[in-house]
Amino acid sequence: MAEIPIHDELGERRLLKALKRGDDAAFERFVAAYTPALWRYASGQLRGHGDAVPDVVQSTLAAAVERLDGFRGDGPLGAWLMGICRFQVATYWRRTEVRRRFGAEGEVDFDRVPSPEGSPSETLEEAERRARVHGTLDLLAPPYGDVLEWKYLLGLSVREIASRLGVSPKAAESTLTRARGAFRRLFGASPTDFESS
Amino acid sequence: MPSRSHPTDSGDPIADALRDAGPRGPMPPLDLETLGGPARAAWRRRALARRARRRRWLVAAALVMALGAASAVWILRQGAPIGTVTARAQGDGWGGPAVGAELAPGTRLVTWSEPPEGLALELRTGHRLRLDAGSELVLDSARKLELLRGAVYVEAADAPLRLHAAGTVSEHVGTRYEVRIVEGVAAVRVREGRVRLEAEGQVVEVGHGEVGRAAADGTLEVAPSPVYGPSWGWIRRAAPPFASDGASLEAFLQWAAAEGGFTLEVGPELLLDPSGQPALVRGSIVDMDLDAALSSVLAGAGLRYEVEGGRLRVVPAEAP
Repeated sequence: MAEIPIHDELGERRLLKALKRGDDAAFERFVAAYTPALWRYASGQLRGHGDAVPDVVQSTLAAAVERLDGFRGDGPLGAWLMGICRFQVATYWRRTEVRRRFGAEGEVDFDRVPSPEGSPSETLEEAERRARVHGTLDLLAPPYGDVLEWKYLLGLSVREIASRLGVSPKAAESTLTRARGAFRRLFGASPTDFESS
Repeated sequence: MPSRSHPTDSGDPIADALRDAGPRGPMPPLDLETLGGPARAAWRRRALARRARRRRWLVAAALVMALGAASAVWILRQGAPIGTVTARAQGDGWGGPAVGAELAPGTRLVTWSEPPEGLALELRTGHRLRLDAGSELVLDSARKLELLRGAVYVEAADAPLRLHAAGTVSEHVGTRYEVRIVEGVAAVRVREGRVRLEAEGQVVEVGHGEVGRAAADGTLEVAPSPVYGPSWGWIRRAAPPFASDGASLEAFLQWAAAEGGFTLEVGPELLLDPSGQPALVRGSIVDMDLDAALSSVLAGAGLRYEVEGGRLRVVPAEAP
């Protein structure tokens, strides 16, 4: 099978169709395309528990394969995968809590995620949202993720972005618009977040 | 970095989401082989399950198709003839089927005793049957017959045939045989090959020159029985005609030997004409009995015959 570009809706549909057909090449493409985003998503929610990230990513991919026939493609494949990953993360936290409760580690506040030394702790919801933003940026076709970060985190102007991309300001503006659209579609697991934009 | 407990609100949700999340860190090198390992195992299980499902569907589809085809054949055969009348010996009041008549499953064939009637037929399965006078035979199918009374002579083909008669079932193993009901008891006489005779859970095999029947105590018994002689004469009554004109002398003699239940003895040189070619029969033998047919045909070839101990011996006319 020729490599499937998956960064748009049509590409995702083609990949999903090939996966459901049992195409081995599509499976390898699926693993290669989505593992980085899942890694980012899982590690964002498992701060201080980095050792658990590989297990969570592995479980997510395996569960996705097992549930593939039940996924109808109503939403983005990436969002569906992140939903599975979120469940795997929650499972990890539940097991961790059980170990702590019945082990020697004492009680924990299950509603808050441990954070690196010196950082404020955050709620599970905050951690999940942050991880989902980062995972979604990883799912975007290059250079959309970078363009969005340059614009909104570094505060670069369109002209500066155009310079970095080596294109005209008009082309950079167009790239930024497409990047926003792609981000909106993939982040659409919570579509109400962007209804107003 | 903005405080996570106080999300930014610039009016642009995408900008706010990115600012709240902060920058992505560097992506470490990922070992896709390891991370995808369990998924790969699940993928293989899924492929196996798909193949098994497909195989089950194919088998089921094949079964359905085979069942459909078998049903169609069965339905078509229900009304199709299973045999044809090839000859008859009729009395004055004959009301049975004519030569060439096709016989449907379930046909009941009856021959009267006086004047003696006879009937020959060939089933679709290749079995050739002759029905003695005073007989009643039901053709359940081309593979299953039931003799209710009288006698039937069977020249069996390769196809199986179950012949029910007075509580017995006869199945041939490549043979010519007669099944006759006498006073409610079936007797199977075998001229050639073997017949498997079954009654009330007992089974015996009746061979060449034997007769099998149920004894008074219900057991099956087998006894010697000649394969030629007057008791077999009835099968000639309704025999299909032998197309003698133009047939080879050898074919005629083989037919005559089979009809009489004889073993043929003839020197190969006697089967050739003066030019060394196979001798041919000229003329018809219709309405002749076996003796007359043999005498007539052999006389024309300068030959004659002798019957002795079940052997039909052909010799030159001038031989002592």
